[in-house]
Amino acid sequence: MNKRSERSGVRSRAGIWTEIKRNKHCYVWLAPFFILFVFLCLYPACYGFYVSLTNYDGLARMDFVGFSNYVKAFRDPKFYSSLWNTVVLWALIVPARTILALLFAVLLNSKRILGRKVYQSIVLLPYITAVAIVAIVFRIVLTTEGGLVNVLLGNLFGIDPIGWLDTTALSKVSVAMMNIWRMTGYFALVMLAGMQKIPQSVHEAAMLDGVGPVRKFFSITVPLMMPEIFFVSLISTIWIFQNVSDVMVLTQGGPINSSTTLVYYLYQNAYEYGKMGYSAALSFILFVLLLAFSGLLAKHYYKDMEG
Amino acid sequence: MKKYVAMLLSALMMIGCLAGCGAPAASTGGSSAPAPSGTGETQELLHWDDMTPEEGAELTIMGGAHLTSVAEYVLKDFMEETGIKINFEKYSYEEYPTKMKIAMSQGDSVPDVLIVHDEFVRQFVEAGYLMELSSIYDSENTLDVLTPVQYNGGVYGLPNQVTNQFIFMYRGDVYDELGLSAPTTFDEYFDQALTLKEAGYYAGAWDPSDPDCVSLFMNYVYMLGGEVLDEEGNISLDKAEEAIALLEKCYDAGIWHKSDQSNSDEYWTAFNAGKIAAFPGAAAHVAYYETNADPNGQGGYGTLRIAPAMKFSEEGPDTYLNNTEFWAINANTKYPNAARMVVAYLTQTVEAAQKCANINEEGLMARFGTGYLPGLEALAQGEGVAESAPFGGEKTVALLAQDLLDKADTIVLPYVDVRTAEIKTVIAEVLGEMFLNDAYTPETAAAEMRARIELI
Repeated sequence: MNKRSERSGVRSRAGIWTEIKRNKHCYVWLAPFFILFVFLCLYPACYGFYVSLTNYDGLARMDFVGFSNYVKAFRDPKFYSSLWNTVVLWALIVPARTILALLFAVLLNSKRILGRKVYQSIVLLPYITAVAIVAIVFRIVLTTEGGLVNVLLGNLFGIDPIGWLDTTALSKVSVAMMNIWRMTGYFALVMLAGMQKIPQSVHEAAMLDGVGPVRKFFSITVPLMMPEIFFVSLISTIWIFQNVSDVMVLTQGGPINSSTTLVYYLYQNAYEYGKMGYSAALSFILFVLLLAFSGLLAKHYYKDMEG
Repeated sequence: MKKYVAMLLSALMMIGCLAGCGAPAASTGGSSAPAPSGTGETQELLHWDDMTPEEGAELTIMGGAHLTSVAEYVLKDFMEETGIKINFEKYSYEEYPTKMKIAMSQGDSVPDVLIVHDEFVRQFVEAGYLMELSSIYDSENTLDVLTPVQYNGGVYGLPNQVTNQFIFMYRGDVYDELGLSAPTTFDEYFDQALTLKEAGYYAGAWDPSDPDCVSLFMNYVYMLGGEVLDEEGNISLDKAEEAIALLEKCYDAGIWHKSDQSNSDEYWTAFNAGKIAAFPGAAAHVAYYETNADPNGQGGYGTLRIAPAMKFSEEGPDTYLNNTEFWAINANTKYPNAARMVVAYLTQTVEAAQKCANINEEGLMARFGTGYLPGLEALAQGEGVAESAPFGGEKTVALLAQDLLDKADTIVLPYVDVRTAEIKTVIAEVLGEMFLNDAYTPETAAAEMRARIELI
């Protein structure tokens, strides 16, 4: 270590305590969050990791089994199929939802639309409606025999009934449609908040330069909305990987596990099969995957921002 | 660096919610195994009103929402009479076993009284969390369905709903019109189904894409005299090939509506449109027809009737018990007397049996008999049993109770345990792959089921 870094090291070590003492009120303000975080998040996460190293069945047995739950997961075909289903759902949902949310935000931000505030409330309705209710509606709409979609397709185009919920090819599409319908409104409002932060002067300058609305959207709105787009993509990703309710209430993972996501499989193991240890191991694998995925997204985003 | 720390923290928060939600503290709970009791001892049988509850007794009953609500209704007068205060904790059927497991494994004294399905109760008994109940168990007068709760010579639960045998339900008006009568054998049923199909009706419903398609497979296995797990809990799948072959025969003949019978909106839409004329299944489903049959449905559902199950084969049983639940008491309860009084009242009285058979309140319907034989006999004679409108004013519980009493000595109670839920998922997968993707023959499907169940 050279003299300069030695000096800065000494200064920084002494400085930390001085800084803490000087700003102790800030730490007091922050303390409740960290205390709650430790007890409600960090401790359960650490305990969950310990459970993943046992054969805990939710009742009595809790023998240490090392990493055998992790080994079992990597040999389990259902782990891979449920992971694949999750990735497909991600691919179906995230781009579509991000684009739709952005378009909704543009519409809701437009001064030409009367009653914007009313629409802002309406787009949020699917988000605040109970998932079970949404699923019942979607089951009625998508059911093969007599479902609204099939009746419409049959009457308008003469198409034979499509098995939206009972074919392996379309079950994920149905789950994706429901999820997009349910959640897009919320993300549209997030986008809208971001859009309203863009200074009006930027739009006015573009107009003076003769920039058309489409170019303005792609060259001004989208680049300035990147933090919100990144936020929506990241949160969407996390929520999709975490989402168990859509699949549970709409398809129960079927047919033939074609819509079983990793978290639903994890849920089944924990709460239906009583395999808490294995389920905890799956949740930690999911954690690592999500961390890597979020890291990649963040790296790409910050690289773009810096570029 | 800050952004990565922030991401790590948010990911940790997320995984904390995931991993922590199902992880209670290390198990302590009751003793590691129940102490053998009742072996060779003659205990004085206690009637519920022979006992005195502890001063200020306050109990909590936990279970699936519907059956706990039924208990709440049945126990109204009991609570007033005894002064025992009871709280009712109701959960969905998916959720309650986990809630119970967490409470019991931590050695809590609450819930005091539990209602547990047969597939979970064995695990509770073997873990030593339940109180021995010989003192209130009238073995002479209780239907012999206690195998899952008998351990080391003791009895750790008493049966709740027992009128859940496999039966034949059908539309009497359609059968009369076509000159048919309830089938006595499977072959007769199949021939009738073809007749019904020609007349525009379905003879049941089955959807291999639905995870619940396994229920019909299990019905067929048990009615053929087979088993999924043997009485030791080993994988058997005896008669699985034959059951799958029968399913294939019926499915290919197009005699079934494509839906989950009695459990899906699609089924009830078809049923209320008058498309379904026969629907063999578990007797517990009789109550579903009272709540879901819509007199104003398009097409109408006619007049429903109940008949004993048809024989599937010479060696097959007359019927089998689809499943049952057991009332049990937490070994750590602070109020053992009060808890025993509650369980004895619910399971060992004619009064409770009659109440369970006659509930039709706002949002609550029950039509079942408990395992107390004098109660079943009273129900079979129609004493105080309600008439059922969709079944043409028949006293359905009386018919079910009589059918059960007729077969009480031979009734089959399949072995189930905590693995059963996963076994069902595996079987449903294979059935789906066979019927939707043409992946197997009945023989290879059965072999595949065995192979996958072995991995559980």
